[in-house]
Amino acid sequence: MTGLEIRLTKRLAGFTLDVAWSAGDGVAVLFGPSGAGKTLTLQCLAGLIRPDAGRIALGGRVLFDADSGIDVPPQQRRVGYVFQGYALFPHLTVADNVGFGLRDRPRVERARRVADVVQRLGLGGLERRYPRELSGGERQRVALGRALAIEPALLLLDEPLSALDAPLRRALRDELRALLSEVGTAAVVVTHDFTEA
Amino acid sequence: MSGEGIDALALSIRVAILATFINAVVGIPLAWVLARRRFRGRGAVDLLVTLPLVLPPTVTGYYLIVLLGRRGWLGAPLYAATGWTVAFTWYAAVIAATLMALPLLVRTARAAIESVDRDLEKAAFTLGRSEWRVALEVTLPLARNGILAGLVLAFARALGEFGATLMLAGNIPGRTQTVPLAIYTAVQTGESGEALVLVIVLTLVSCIVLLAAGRLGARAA
Repeated sequence: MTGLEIRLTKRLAGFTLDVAWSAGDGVAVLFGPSGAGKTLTLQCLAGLIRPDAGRIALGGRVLFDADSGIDVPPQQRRVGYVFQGYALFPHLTVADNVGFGLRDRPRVERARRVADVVQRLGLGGLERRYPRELSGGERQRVALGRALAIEPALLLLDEPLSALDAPLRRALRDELRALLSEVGTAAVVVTHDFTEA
Repeated sequence: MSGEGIDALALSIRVAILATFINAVVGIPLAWVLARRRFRGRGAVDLLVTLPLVLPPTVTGYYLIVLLGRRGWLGAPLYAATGWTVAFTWYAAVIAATLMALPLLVRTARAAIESVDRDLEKAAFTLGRSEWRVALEVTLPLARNGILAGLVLAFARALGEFGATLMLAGNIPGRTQTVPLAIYTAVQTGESGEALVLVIVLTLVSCIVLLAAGRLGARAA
């Protein structure tokens, strides 16, 4: 059982988020207009924001349960998060960005894992570049690679295509879809664009 | 330059370097806490750190005497216990310079830290880093130029400190007389040649610091 169950309430000034759904394996899409609380939901899943009430369970592992006081910190959730603007570390190279979550692994394993992700995402030759030297599509793949490198139990993608221009968006949409099904990690994708869903 | 002038220059540089060092150790963590943490008393800490920037230096110096003088709140018990007081020693000059320089570093560094994208820190959290490691590996490196600029301002302020130093450390040639105090004394006693030399030296030192910092900044960028 690797499904995702989420039920949560978060009260903010002038806005209350109420979410309840569950998903099986594969890719779930959160679709809705901006301001509906999609990003907030992702941040609750990642443990970056603490809901006021509810329960989040992933593959039978409880990540958050307000009633029993469980709140696994983001560091231990094994949730890969691809931010809307990618949030690549501008002071680190592509290889160091991808390997950022592998600090505790032995050096050899870390290098192998980075090489593996770089190759799988077609980033070969860009390892020593900095994010500012990359195209939008390359940045997206680095962000995805950085999240995948930790072998996450769940992948979160916040508007993964919105930072790109329209022609590139169309090309990358199919690429992303193929990649996600190839990786096989459960994923939640947030979008406000129906064609992306 | 007279022997006293050379003493004053050596003391000024020693005081400014030490004050800048203490500023780095205290001020950078303080700037991070003010930028990234919400806690009770945060406004009060912010106000207290900023006050020396807006108060006349003599007023800050007066508070230092009340606190650290031989009959001060902290100074009296210290004197009773050890027979030693910080007032009128060169340590007093370091304390005065540190306090006067602190708001410049904290405000500059804080603005630089606040301008670091929060998503970068959140990304680092999801990748397993503790809050402490995120500050060291992500936030502070990205705020580096602003922190460096703050340290340069702090050094310059410490080098030029006059009022608070005069109150707590006095103006004892060879012991607590820094260059700004020596310039004041030279003008008061009509030694205009000595004053001019010290003014030029202080100006040159300040220019060298600014140029060195500019070069460091260019390398960092």
